[in-house]
Amino acid sequence: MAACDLSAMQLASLLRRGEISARQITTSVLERIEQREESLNAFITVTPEQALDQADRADARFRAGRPLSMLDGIPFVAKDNLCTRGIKTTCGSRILENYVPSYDATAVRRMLDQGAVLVGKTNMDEFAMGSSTENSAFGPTRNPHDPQRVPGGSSGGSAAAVAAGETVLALGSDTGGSIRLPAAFCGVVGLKPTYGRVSRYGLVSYASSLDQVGTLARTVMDCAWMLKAVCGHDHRDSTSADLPIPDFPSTLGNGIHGLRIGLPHDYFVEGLDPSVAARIREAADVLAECGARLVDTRLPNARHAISTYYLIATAEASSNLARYDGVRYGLRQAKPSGDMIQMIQATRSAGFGREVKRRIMLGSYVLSAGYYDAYYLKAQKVRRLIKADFDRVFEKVDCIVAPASPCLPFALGEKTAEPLQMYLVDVFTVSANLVGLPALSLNCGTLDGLPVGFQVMGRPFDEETVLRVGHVYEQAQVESTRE
Amino acid sequence: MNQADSIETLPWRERAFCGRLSPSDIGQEIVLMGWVDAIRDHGNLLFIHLRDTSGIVQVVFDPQRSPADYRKASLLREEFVVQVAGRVVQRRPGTENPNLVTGEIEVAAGKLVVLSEARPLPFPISEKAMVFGEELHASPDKVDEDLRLRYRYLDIRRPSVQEILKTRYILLKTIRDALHEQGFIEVETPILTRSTPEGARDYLVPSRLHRGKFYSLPQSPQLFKQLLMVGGIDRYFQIARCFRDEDLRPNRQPEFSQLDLEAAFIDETFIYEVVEEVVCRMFSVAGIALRRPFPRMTYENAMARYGTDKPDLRFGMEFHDLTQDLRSTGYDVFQRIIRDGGRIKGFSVKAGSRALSKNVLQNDYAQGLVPALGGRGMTWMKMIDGRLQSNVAQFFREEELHTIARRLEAQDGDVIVMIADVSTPLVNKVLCSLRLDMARRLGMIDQSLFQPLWVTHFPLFELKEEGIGSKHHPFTMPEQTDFDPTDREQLLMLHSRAYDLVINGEECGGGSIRIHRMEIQQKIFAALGLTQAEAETKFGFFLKALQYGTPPHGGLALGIDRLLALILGLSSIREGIAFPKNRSAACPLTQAPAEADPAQLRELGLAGKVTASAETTASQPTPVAGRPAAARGTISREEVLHVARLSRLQLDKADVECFQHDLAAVLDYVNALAELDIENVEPMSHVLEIKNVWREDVAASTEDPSALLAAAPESEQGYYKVPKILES
Repeated sequence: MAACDLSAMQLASLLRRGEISARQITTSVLERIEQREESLNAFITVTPEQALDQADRADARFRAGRPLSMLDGIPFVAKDNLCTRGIKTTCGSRILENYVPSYDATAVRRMLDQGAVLVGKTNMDEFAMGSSTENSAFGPTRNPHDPQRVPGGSSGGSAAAVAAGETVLALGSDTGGSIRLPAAFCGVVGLKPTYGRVSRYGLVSYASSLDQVGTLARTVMDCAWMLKAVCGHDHRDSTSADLPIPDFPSTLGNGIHGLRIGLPHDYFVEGLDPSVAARIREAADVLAECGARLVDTRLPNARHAISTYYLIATAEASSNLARYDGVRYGLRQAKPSGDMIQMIQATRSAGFGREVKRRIMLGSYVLSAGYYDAYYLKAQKVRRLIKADFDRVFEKVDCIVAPASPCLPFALGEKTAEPLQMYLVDVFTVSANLVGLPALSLNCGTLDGLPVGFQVMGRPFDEETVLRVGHVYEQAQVESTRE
Repeated sequence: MNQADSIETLPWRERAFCGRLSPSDIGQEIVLMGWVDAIRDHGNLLFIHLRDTSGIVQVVFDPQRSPADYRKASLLREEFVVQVAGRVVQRRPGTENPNLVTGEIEVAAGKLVVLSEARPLPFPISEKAMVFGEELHASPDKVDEDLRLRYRYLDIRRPSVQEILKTRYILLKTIRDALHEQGFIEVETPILTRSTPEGARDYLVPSRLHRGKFYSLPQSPQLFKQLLMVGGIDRYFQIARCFRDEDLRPNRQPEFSQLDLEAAFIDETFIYEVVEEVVCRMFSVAGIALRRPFPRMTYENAMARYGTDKPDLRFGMEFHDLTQDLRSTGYDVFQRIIRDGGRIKGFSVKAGSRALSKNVLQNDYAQGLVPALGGRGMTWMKMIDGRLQSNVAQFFREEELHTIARRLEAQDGDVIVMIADVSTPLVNKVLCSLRLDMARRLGMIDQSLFQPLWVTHFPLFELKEEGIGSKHHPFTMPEQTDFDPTDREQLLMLHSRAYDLVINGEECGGGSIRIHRMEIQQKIFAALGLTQAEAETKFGFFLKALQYGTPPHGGLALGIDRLLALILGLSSIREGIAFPKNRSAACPLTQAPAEADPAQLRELGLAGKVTASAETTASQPTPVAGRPAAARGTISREEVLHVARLSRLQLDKADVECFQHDLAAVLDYVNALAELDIENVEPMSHVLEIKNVWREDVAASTEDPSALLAAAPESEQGYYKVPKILES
């Protein structure tokens, strides 16, 4: 097994024993990128020189016996909507094709401060708007398990890179499932933390009340270490929570005996691929065998989550993306004779792809005079109903196990013709964003060689429980393969 | 071994029933068959509760008596099906269980045969503790209803549920017996029929043999029962299954049972007598005696006195009109309303002073319930020391206060409530809700009382959005037939020969004397604005029948599910139905409604049409029942271009068409939100409570301007450069 296929914690212990160097790890990752990138297209930008330079500095720290953290010398990637000082940050869009930020996103900065090695920026649906990474201006990313299929989106590049060994860790963002869906489709672990847990400073905004930076890795333990590194209050993001940071990795081993796990009846209904449903029920049974108590729960408004999400997200997007006007950064298209309005329209029309335009249009429509009450205000009210559902459920259970996706990874082009079909792929993930809950997506086996994922959702700011459940499941799977 | 020996034969001739054993059976050797309800292992003795359809008896396994059977018994689990032989014995003194009908005896077990085993249960079934005075560990009533329905066959095993289903059967038998005695016969009418006048909420059944055509399931056998009258069946009834694809409401079922009856050569009084007889006998099944004859009240009277056409008469609080009395009041709120042609009504709450504090009256009612119903205010006063007092009393003259007190029969300790509005229906609606809510709050409703009422003389027509419509249905006989079908005012004054049976404020049934002459029917259609041709296409076959000598006739339908719930005090009508649909009109047990097999759809000629929408609904978690299959919402080219302008986007022709389609598809999908009642829900813009964030106002270094400017598409001398903004 190549170094790039090991988990961060395995690599951390090899580094500490001196059995491997950070340069060797980074080189292994870069070689893998060399081999696979042509077919996968997981990256928009690869930064080999900077990476090797950082790796060498990490090795110097190890030689001095003073590594910065458990993540020191471990390669990571950032989704290309997280600003990186001096490195192009395109958001998968022509409009930011040549944009080079002058600052780092807080999440990226904190990873770098821990000594992690940035190897590149990953592909994504333009402005994170998509569920398949087919909406990138720089071509689709493909699923490492089957290049004819999509990796999920919008953090498809991050998930594919982790799955293929093109990185060890990855940062992503999740507005409606953009970490959890690709994690499920690529068979890796993805965590969307509670809204407010991780600073959004430097994350290019899509829907500000839903966006959250999160982590992708090969093990729950790696995710826990990453979360510990990137979370916490940031005065640059007024919505980042000023709460004590639990030591996530250390509580993973506490087991789940007596934990009450809710199985939402309303998620196991038609529309969910029956074979996927069966896999998830098996996963729940595994958790029950590990001592958890399964409780049937109801989320009666779950079926309204997609409607609510696409009304709120597009409304917020239409406002957030108003800033792309060709004045301060990014693309500019203008006729010499044209005026300001002409320039703005020409810039936006040339710079945005079709899905982004579609969502801006939809958002402008639902916010426009005469439709605000019927759509946007109504969606905000239903959002409260959905939250009330979860509040009620969490009185009786400690976390919820749910599908991550209604279907297996689909073929490229399969759902691009009907946008609504693509939107419905997010049916199980958007609620966590609407309500702000932490949610972990992890693998529960394969069907026809394709990964199946499931979600563990927890109470706000209770990532510990969510990670603990994920870890117990992962360990049980390791045990059973050993047998 | 020959063939016959291998067949499992059961001692059904010798079988005794658990619940019917009594001390008189002591000493008998018997055989029981049933389910293991509960188990209690004492180490040296093993007790089980054995349950069959008749009840429960305790069975004791004693290793001294039969070691082999004792060992077998120790492997029993709840809900195993067993056959036990044994002897009926008296329980030892002090171990009797008064919870059980058979609590004085038990069965000393001999041979035990396990007929089948049961998987661990999704919820507890046992309803009887094994030791007197001991609580059950888990009550089945706390189980989620959908879980119960998913395992309804287990739920039905519970004695309380069996009791309900048995009572339902007895009630149906009572109905049949009573009507049989009156000379009625039961005739079945078709389930596959054609769409009826109420058409919009019909369930449709595609026809395989007639492609593109549909049967519909009946919402009621209305036309068929009238045809039976034309056919000379003098007195007809049917326990009819009816179907209505209604919007979701808590106590509605997509299919429901009604007692449908119709008789010829009769008038209203016949129906009242027959139905009162049937209803009284139904209630007497549960030991409830109803006083006959049932009181009658006209629609107008009910609206004036109780603000509803289904008043709950178990308590008073009747309304009185104060408009005349307050004609010259100095209270300018009332004065304005009277001047604008409005109405002031009120009622008094006997001894309401204590429970209805100023806070409750103000917060829960005047600023709570009343505005929620659209009311603009509520005036209330308290009768203290023979005077009406409140903070608005000062605006009324002394004699006005006296008149109000006298009119509302207020005494010391009473609270009086008045609603004034220019809209009389609104006054009635608000007062009606206040009356019910206050009565419930004050515990004024005697739950053991059953108060039936006939409401009669309904308006024949009502004003609907699209014009004049029938209050009941267009076959209802008017009280007078010499009206001018073009005179709208006159039409709205007409009364019908319709009647509703109301019990405790719930509508349990309704019916009418029907039109039996074609010329009257035609006048009604004319009044409804229906042309001859339209009437012909809608119910031509029926109109034709009317012309072949139709006897005067009338009838009624009673909701059986609702009556059963009322008689047994069930929390919902679903409790009284063996396999009900849940609140979402779905069946958790069978997962109906379900998608159809594409091959089947093709054969029905539906493949093309349904797949389009099936694709959109397929991945939807739960199909929204009752959602009209309305045509897709459309968005015009102009709207798309307008939104594009707002979005600062230029669209080419292909974009416009694409977005027209996409936006319509998404908006059509999100329209499912319409089913939610969100009127009183606060919008939520953020998961975290919004608050202003303050920080210390300290000077800090800012970004280097040249670094920011480096990203600019165009700059000049430290500034962003843009095209001209002002129009030339």
